[in-house]
Amino acid sequence: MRRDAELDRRLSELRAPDEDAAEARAWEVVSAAYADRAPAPRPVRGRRFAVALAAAVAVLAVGLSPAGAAVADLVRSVIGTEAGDPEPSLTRLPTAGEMLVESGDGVWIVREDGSKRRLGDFDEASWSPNGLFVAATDGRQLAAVDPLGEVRWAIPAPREAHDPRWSGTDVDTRIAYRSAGDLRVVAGDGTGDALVARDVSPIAPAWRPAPEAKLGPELGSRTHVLAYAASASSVRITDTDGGDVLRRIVIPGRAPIDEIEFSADGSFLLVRTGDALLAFEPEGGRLAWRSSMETSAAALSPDGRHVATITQPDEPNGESRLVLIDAGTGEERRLPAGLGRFTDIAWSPDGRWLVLGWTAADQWLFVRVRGNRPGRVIAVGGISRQFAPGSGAEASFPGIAGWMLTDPP
Amino acid sequence: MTGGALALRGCGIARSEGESLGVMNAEPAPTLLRARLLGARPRSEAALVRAAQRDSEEALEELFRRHWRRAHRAAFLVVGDGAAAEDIAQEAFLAAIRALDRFDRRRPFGPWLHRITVNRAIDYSRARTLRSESALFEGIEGAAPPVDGLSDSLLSALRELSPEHRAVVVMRHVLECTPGEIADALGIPRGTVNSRLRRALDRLRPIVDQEERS
Repeated sequence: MRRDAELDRRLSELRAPDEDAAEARAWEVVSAAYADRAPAPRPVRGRRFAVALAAAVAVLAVGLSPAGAAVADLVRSVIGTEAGDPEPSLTRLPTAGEMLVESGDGVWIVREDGSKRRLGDFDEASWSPNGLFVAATDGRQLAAVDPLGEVRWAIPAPREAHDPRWSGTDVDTRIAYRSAGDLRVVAGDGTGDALVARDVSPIAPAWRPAPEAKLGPELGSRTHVLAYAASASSVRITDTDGGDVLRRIVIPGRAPIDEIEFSADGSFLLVRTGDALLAFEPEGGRLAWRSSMETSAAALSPDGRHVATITQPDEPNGESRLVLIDAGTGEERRLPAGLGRFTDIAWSPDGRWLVLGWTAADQWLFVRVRGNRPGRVIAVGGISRQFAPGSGAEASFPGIAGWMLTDPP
Repeated sequence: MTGGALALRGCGIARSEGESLGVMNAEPAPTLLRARLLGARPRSEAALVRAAQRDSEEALEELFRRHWRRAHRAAFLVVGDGAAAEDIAQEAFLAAIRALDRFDRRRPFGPWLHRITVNRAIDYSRARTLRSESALFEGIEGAAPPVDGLSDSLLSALRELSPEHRAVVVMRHVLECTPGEIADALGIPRGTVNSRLRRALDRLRPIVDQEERS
């Protein structure tokens, strides 16, 4: 008995590390999850009917009208503002910068003058920090490609490669990518391919944008800080050079993580789940704000002050909304409704325009959100065939992988 | 730091105010302090669960403060990794919140929570063991399992046990569950609980004896 009593005493003295701080972090997460647990309000029948009616009218318009007229009607009803007929092809971007596009036919760059260059037969891509190169994946290969399409280096991935993300300083960069369930990092010159974590969720990782970002002592001194979805409901922030896990954030709510992104100054981490957008302070892991809505995409403005997101329609032909959220407070501004499902959203480098991918109408919508004539919409039609020449009606709608002000050659 | 709030005995069941907190060693929850200052009796766990089901964050916080440290500590002692233990305990609480509306108030909250925590900790430990082995087999660089704070000889000896044996020890000696409660929580026969406990203690006792002598 004496031995058991001593064992009891010794075991009872064992402590988990950092207990007080862990408890504070846990309460933050648990209380947020509790606040979110209220069941969703039941839909109002009248409103549902109105939405269904609007959807039916829109479907009818698409089905019966010539493409151009349908587009004009839809843009008017969608964004709630006047827009001319859609431009039949992309002749120029509304502001400076270059867009990176992923289509079934490969990865493309669109220049400000509207010219397009196919970089190669890649599946996914992202810009290097200054837009000098593109990191691209092609099956089991990761490659660095210049804007002329020349492959600078390529390495075989252990398994199928996805979600390349490039970050770092002018002289010291890293590319993170997923390969099967693993998260790996390679230096910007293609050397030093290394495993960072196993069994991660199939979500693109996010680098803290700049080492000089405004951060506290814990993260501020680190150069290569990466956030990734360790599971469907938890994010880890890690120093990929030292291997230290700097922060673990459990995401409250039932829906799995869909997307993570650091703000431009690294001061908060945006997490999009199936039913909410959440902003966390990476230094302490504190939840800064939460916005409950089902969204299909979200993008942080270049200055980090706003989040643009698109709500999911209730039904296939229901209405979507473009929502602008103040990144500091979480305050929402809902713009007029649209019909159908928008798939992508990206900010222009100057933060004045948003581009939305509108699959149902085979269009990109450029929406001016700042500066002169906010609310102006430029619709460009026939997007699929422009990025899959020769495919005809078989072409799939391309994805927008970024819009960036690249360094002049 | 030794708290004077509710003691958690019998696999995390709250008893009476003023008992030693034992292993929990927690600060009193603010709501408990307020209750004592006002001369009110602390609410029973069933009352707290009922209030939490009716959207009382204060009640939820009291439940959290009563159970967090033991859940966190139990997870840590099973997985041997401080950060993973924090994740596991947090996710156990989140699972509890998701199921709160369906929770039968006649059942004690603590054992329910600890069952979730310990089973998740065992799953995590098993998965990590499998990953380590496959990393070695494939010759792929894999980080060694983190061992935050495992410098103590007793912690090291615990780490030598299998996750299933660690879980039984932790439930018996840290969470103070009975063998029957452990069997119920882990879904194993009571005889298996006793045999695991006996084998584990045979490994741990020499460490304690040796430290006592020195």
